[in-house]
Amino acid sequence: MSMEEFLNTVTEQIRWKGARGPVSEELKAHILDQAQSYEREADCPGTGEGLTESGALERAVREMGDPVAIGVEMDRIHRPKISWEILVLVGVLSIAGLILHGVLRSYSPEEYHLKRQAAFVVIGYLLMLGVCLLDYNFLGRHSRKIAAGFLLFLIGGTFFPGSYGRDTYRTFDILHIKLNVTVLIYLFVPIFGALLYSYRGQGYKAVGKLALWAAVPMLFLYRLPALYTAVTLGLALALLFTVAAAKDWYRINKKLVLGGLWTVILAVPIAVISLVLIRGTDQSLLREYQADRLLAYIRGGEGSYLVENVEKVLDGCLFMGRDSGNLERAVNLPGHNSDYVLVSLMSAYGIVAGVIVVLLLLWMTGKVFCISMGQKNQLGMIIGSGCGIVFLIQTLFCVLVNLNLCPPAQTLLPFLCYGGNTTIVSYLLLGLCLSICRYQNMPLGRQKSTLRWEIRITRVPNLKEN
Amino acid sequence: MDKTLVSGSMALMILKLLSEKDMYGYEMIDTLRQRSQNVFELKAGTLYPLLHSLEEKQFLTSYEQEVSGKVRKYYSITKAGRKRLAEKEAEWKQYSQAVGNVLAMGV
Repeated sequence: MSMEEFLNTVTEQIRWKGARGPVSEELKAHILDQAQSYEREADCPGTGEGLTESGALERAVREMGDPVAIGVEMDRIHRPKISWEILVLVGVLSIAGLILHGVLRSYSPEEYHLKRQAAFVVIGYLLMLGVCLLDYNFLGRHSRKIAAGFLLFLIGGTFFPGSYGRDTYRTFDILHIKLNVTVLIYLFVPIFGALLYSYRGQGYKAVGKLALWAAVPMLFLYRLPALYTAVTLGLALALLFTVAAAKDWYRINKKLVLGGLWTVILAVPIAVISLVLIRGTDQSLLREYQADRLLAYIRGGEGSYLVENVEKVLDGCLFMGRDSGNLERAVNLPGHNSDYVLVSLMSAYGIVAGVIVVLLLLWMTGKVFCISMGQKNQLGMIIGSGCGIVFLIQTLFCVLVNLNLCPPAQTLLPFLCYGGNTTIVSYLLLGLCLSICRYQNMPLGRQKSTLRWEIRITRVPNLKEN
Repeated sequence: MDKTLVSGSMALMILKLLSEKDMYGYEMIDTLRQRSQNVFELKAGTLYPLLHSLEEKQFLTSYEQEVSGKVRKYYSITKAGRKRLAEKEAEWKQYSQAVGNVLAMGV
């Protein structure tokens, strides 16, 4: 049997095409090493067996063993892994979300497109399965082009607002589909993960470049204005950078860089709040309405009507079950099906239902982190961590805003919020995590060691003089 | 030598070899043959599925490195792998001691 025949027989047994190449390459390298060794033995008088190059190769193939048995065993090991728990949980959350919106529609005075929302859920679920089948490694190979294209698309899109007007600059139309920049921008987090991966080993230069990549969407969001999204996105990117730096990807002084980064992250909100408290709306960092909202939250009183109304609805929530009067108050809150979906959920089904949903989302996020951190493929690790960080931040901020522990802001609860953009983005992010999980048993093929040589020149005493 | 004795302890020996340094497949077979004075002639067809299985269980991790113009796939033991090795070593010592005791009785 020739080497090619042997390798073909082995790979024919492996059903997952993605695993065939790396397994074949590894076995081929072994056969060639073994054949070379037999040839060397032949070169040594007394120990040689008189093997020619082809004879040595033939013997090396024979020594490998039964190719069918090897292939069958490799097939058993290398199978795409599906995270059924996550798939089932998301299915349950999606159906729960639709039932909730069905209930809210019957109480809401606003126009409610339940069928459209159901279509978004179905499309989102199918997109998630589609992304799960894709090999996420393309993100690592083209990270800079994808990041630049994505940011140009979103930022450029806001200059063509379509039929929705330029009142908020947050949305634009493509083929009659309304795209919300402040929601779609969360897809930048896994892309930033791929950027972090691509700049490995480049030292402080990488830190500077990454800071620029992060600054572009944050400044854009700040100018929109979408301050809350800028803050949450910045936090997500900083956390992801921390994961990468902690893994020693950049050979920098970790304590110095990460210490500096988190000092700035903690100092900025303190400085902004202090400035607003001292100068009120007469400052240039926040817009007038933003400063008003912040002051109203801190001081209470006039202007904090939203906070007060949320407080009233929260007070009226039953432990289990629904008080119709309270639910009617809940559906009159602005953003009752998006920003305040948790308040609406608790007023429709009780506090226990809200706690269960939040715990399920946190469990799912934990599962995403477990899958990501267990990856031998470092690109998968960082992209998966990015998706997990987005889910974690979105869930935690939604809880804080819905419980009035944070000033009112645009929040979203993954898989439960009403709206096409939020629904699709959540499913796309989870699809990436499922793709990472699916490919975790893929043997490494193209990845090279990250070991680097370092030559250090140092002054030594002149030995001749001694 | 009885083959079942060899195959049962193969994972232990692979983990032991890799606890000393990272190795590629051919290097492992060669080292094992030399150290066992040609007793363990491990077939590649047995080794690679075993390595991939240990990697799937996260006892090993792998990376590729270019050495003398050839790209080789190196295996490295993980923290979980070292823990597993310690357990297996303890089991093996207990087993061999028990066999030794039984054999000594007949002397």
